Amino acid sequence: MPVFVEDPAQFSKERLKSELIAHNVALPPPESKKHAYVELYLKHVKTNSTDFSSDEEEDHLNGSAEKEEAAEMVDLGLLTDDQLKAKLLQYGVKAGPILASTRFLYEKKLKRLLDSSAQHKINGTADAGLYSDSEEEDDEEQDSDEEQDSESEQLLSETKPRTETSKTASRMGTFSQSRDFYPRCFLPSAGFVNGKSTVSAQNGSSSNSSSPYRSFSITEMVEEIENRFSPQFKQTESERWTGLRAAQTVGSRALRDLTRLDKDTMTSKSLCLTSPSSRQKQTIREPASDVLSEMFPDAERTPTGIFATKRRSIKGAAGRPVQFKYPELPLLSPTILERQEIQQRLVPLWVQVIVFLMVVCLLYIIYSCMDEQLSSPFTALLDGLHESALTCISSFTGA
Amino acid sequence: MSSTSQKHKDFVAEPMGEKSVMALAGIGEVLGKRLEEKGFDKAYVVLGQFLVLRKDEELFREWLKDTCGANTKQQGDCYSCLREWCDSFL
Repeated sequence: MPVFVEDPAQFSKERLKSELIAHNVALPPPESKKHAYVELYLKHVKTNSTDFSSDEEEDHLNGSAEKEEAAEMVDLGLLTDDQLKAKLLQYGVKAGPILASTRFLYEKKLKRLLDSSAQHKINGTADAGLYSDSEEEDDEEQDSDEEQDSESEQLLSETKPRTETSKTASRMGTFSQSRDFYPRCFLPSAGFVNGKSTVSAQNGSSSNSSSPYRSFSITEMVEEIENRFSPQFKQTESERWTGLRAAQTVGSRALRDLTRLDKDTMTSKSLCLTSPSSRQKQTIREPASDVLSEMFPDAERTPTGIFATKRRSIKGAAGRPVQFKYPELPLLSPTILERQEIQQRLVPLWVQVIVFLMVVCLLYIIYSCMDEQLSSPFTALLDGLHESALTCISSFTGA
Repeated sequence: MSSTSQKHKDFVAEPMGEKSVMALAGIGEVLGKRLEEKGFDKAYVVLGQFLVLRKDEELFREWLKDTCGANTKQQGDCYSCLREWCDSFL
């Protein structure tokens, strides 16, 4: 990176003054000439700059890169246009002309770049010695497999034999290499109590569960569980304690499988040995049947793993009316209800009105006729009736 | 930008000449007033700033925001407007 060596003699008096103040140097009398300032500057500022980090520009002329970074954050405003441009170029930004109108923007941009690079430094490199990515991945995988403590994870993730000098630890190392472990259920009877070994044993079994074993039958499994409670088991146990490697591998593999079985059947019994091959078959399907048995504790096991439940009658459903999911009129406003009510009447409203009007008209006509001329139609009719009645009477009488 | 405004089309269609700064897409009455107060009274002055910033979108947007308080959409409109004008007339 470019380093700008500036001659303090070229600085303005004002600048020298500010630099001196920043470095806690007593200023010469105000009437003194520029070279007095320059001398003071050279004497104090230049010599001090390597000792401590300040926010002065000169620090990154002489100081280390870190100091420079720290200083840059603060004194962007003091950079000359060319310096600013060079700094931007350093971060891969090709700056245009730095003018009064553009300088602020470029300063801002440089500040942002500095911030981001500083942040990157903190995240990226500071802890590189403490943590490595590969280890974290290992841990995550194991976490997903089984919940374990971090100690055991470290044990497993290492492929080399352990460095611990204790007997158990060294034994664990050899076992982890050969992928054979003591399961937890076996340990109390053997008097082999060691937190690390038990946990890592389970780790081993879990990591083995991905091996390509296929066939599995429950009846076979049950038979084997029964077979395990035999004196043979004790024998193998004692064999292992004599340090026979072959017996150890066989026994531990079997027991690893047994722990799986244990978990599956939800019993706390410690199970014993059978032939490794059959045991290996069991280990595979265990997790799947585990889930099923957890979900349906009451259900019987079927070879397919599919359960059929009886259809149950729904009590009281017969008399219930059918409820539609979406009723036709979910929300009825009062006006709609009113209208419906009206529509439900036998005679429509308009017919009622018409009939009412007709009746009114008729009554009015009758009234007006009666009012105006009493002699007209009704009286005439009455007269006519009267006359006819008289004629009738007269004719009767005449006869 | 998926669609361009009528203002954008009008501005990009011809040399800007002595057009006011408000002829720029994304610059309305309010932003135009603010820009005029700062001396950017003509569209070509803004173009000058745009060119001095090397047609850099980020810097130009930021400048526009600092100068007149344009929002993101206004910044984008103005930037694309000037860039397209430059593509066709510069």
